[in-house]
Amino acid sequence: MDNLMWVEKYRPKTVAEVIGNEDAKASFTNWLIKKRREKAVLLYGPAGIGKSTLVYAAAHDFKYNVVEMNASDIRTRKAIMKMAAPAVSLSSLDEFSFETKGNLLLLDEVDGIFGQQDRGGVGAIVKIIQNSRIPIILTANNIEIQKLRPLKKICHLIRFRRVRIPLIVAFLRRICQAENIPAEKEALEILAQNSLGDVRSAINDLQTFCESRKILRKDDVQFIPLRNRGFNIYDTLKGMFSANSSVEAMKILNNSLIDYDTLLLSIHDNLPLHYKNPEKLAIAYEALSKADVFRGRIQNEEWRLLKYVFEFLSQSTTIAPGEFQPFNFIFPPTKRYLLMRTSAERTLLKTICTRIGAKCHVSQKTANSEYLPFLKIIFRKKSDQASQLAKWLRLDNSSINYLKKTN
Amino acid sequence: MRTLKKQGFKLPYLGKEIFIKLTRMGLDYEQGIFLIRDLNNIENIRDFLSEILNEKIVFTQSCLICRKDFLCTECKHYSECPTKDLPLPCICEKCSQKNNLYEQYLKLDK
Repeated sequence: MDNLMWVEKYRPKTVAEVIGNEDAKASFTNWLIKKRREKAVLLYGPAGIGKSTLVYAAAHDFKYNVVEMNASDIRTRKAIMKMAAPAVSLSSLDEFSFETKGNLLLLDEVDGIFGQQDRGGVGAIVKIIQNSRIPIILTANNIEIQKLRPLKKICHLIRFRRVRIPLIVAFLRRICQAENIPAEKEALEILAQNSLGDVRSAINDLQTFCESRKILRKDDVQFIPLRNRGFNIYDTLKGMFSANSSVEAMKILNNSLIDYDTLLLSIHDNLPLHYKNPEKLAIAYEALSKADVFRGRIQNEEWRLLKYVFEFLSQSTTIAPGEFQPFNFIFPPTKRYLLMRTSAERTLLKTICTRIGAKCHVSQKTANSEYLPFLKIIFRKKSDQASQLAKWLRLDNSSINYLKKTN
Repeated sequence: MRTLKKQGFKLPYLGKEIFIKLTRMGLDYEQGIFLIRDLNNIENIRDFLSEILNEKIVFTQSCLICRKDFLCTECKHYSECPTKDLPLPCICEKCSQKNNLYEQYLKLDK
């Protein structure tokens, strides 16, 4: 028992023992015990704040058996259907027992379902939710990813936030009392502050420092290295726009979890909301364009240039320090929406250019810039020649319509 | 800086459009008082209110133990707190001093 990790040893057994997120806890238990409008619930928030723990604690309190599928399992369509479909479609014999209410399906870290390895996973989950007769609980750290959009539409969403420091301190103190290790309050506060609201990491830190110590003092934990916690898009944008200097903005940028291209586009969209003065806005866009130039030069190799991207990005958001007025950030980037909307048109254009390229022995790029404008005029004004050309290039109706209608 | 009570707050008349937007974002309106219905989106609500009222918005905190209201700025963890000024349950400075805090927390009717 002594070799147990403290996160396991002191894992809350009941809902009341789970610390923090009172509203989320109430919302979740209400959903579980009352008639459910949505068949599934999606608990989301940073790691280590008690999402999965709450599910197990609620299952214990309300007498459910948890059937879990987590990130370590392969979650292809086939694997999910094989494992979860019987669990959700058949009434368990346990339902007739006084001791349990039946099964509850927990799909942990659904935001980790992507890539070739988990192909079709999200689609399979949607199908299972639609046909389910038992409560389904999904957990995720980040629900902003595109792939989870179908799940967000059909699930009841409950957000979990980082646990507040006094609550973590209280929990750490209780562990110290149970382990019979006297601890200075300041020491526990430092551990709680350093965890940034992540209870799991606070407990792990406590266990590390308590090993081979009979008493935990402030001096023991004073130089604990700060956790390099990543910022999500909201925190990144807010931190960068409200920073008082480019150095401060750069620190936030260094800890951001967002990829550079998305961040660049997001800053581009939000700059006009931040700067009302056109001159400042122009300076900000100038810095942003320089960041974009350096990002282009990096491609996938010259990462030594990244510092210039960071420098110009942080400059662009801190042209007028101290003038930050909160506003609703635009995200996802509008360019992504535009690309999504024009995807079919671009595919068509590419097909036409490929046909022209094959017949005229030119590249797609040349076909687009030098041949296509003339073809468009011919298709609009000379219908007889247009039909001959369409036949020669073997263009289908949609391509012909495109050439006729676009300028 | 404008302090809004977590339990409900009044706002000046801001027009129909803004009222609709606020209710869509997660506020309810009952007898002249705005109530927070959905905490999932509370940062956006705070920022939107701050934008339309043109001043910083902070919400009061309620202590889980003694049920009293207090402000985040009174807390010594203010600068490190990841959810500062949001209307989420917490523990006030006075109650934090208690030794059997976790036991008291367990006894709460949350």
